[in-house]
Amino acid sequence: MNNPNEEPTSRFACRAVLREALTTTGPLEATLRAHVETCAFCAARVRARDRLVPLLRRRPELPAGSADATTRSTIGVCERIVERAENGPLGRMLAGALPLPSAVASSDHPDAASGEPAGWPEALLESRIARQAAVAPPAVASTAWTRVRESILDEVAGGQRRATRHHWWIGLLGTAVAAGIVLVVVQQQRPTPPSITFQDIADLPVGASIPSVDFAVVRRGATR
Amino acid sequence: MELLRDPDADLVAACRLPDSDGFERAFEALFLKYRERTYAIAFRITGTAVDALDVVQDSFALVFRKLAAFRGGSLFSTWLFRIVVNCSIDQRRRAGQRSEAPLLSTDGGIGEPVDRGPDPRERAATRELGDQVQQAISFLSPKLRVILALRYLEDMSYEELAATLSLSLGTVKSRLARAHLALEHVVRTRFPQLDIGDSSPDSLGGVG
Repeated sequence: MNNPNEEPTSRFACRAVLREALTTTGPLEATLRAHVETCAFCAARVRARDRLVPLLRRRPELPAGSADATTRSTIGVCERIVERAENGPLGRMLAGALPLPSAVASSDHPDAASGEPAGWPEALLESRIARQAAVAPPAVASTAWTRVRESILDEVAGGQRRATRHHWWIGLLGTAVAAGIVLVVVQQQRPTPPSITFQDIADLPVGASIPSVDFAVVRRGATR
Repeated sequence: MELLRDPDADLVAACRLPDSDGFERAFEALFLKYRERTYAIAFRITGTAVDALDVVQDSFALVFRKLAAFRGGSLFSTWLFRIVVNCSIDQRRRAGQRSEAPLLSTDGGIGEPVDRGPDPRERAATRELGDQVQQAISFLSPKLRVILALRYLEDMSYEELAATLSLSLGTVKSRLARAHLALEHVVRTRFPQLDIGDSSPDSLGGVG
């Protein structure tokens, strides 16, 4: 028998065993069993499967808590699942899987008779029991309303002050940046004073060239 | 076809400039007009008067801070209610983190029943039934609770629900139907004394 931690040599037979072992929980068929008896790799995995199957079959216990909390969390979980998938194929499948009250599901109901896949029959969109809900909120004393009103005005005014301060800072920063840009531009555009060089052409040495100048005035006659 | 003009458009316009003379008066008018309704919505979602008042305060403050962003794509009231719903869900979530949320109740004698029957005994019975149904609703997830509260206590149409909750009409209907199924499940399991009709429990199945 080979080492269970080493790659099996007969991969085809091993694959067949693993495929069977992963999809069934009962005993393997005879040819596969014969392979398992000779292959430690497969034998280890089949033994692991046999250990795990009863554990996986056992329904996990719900977390400790009141029945109310369990109901609430169950509803919450269902709601979140449906909501997240609401616009996808899973959501449509879940919506379709929701059981309808017997009155709607019965064949003589117009919604059942039409056979339309279209969503929600009117009977599910009205609830007599929900209509019974009639809890009026406790009345609020006028002093409480005054407090709420003052708090809102304070918050709005505070927000406005903050916004004003914010705008003031933005304005200041903007002005500084603009001033900086203007300064740089002005400095770049400031005309440099022309340098004036007097050069007597008659005194130029032989072969020398006149220095490169932007503008030249050539004048004849003696220097005054 | 003439488009429906938002009845609050002028007040909203005046509120856009908190420094202007008309701000205080416009704010006062909007606050007085909507404070009870926003409080009622918040109360039905959060479950306590104190939390509901906090939500009203937060919502109005948020509305006036964000008013510049309101482009009038919907009615001002729809926009306000949407903010109230979101603030209420946030508040409820925060309260839930602090402790197990209490069931809705108006105990303390300051609440007035919505349904006033002519006979005090009949009125009391109606009130008791309503309280129990409301308690059953408080078992639902916040979003299911919101849609039931807006539909049955605020009497909103499907279209108003869609606008307020920013949902498509189809999603509104499916969520409403799920809320009904979930409510019936809760009533059958937690409040069996309530008579909810003839459909068998098996037909209701799951709650989601």
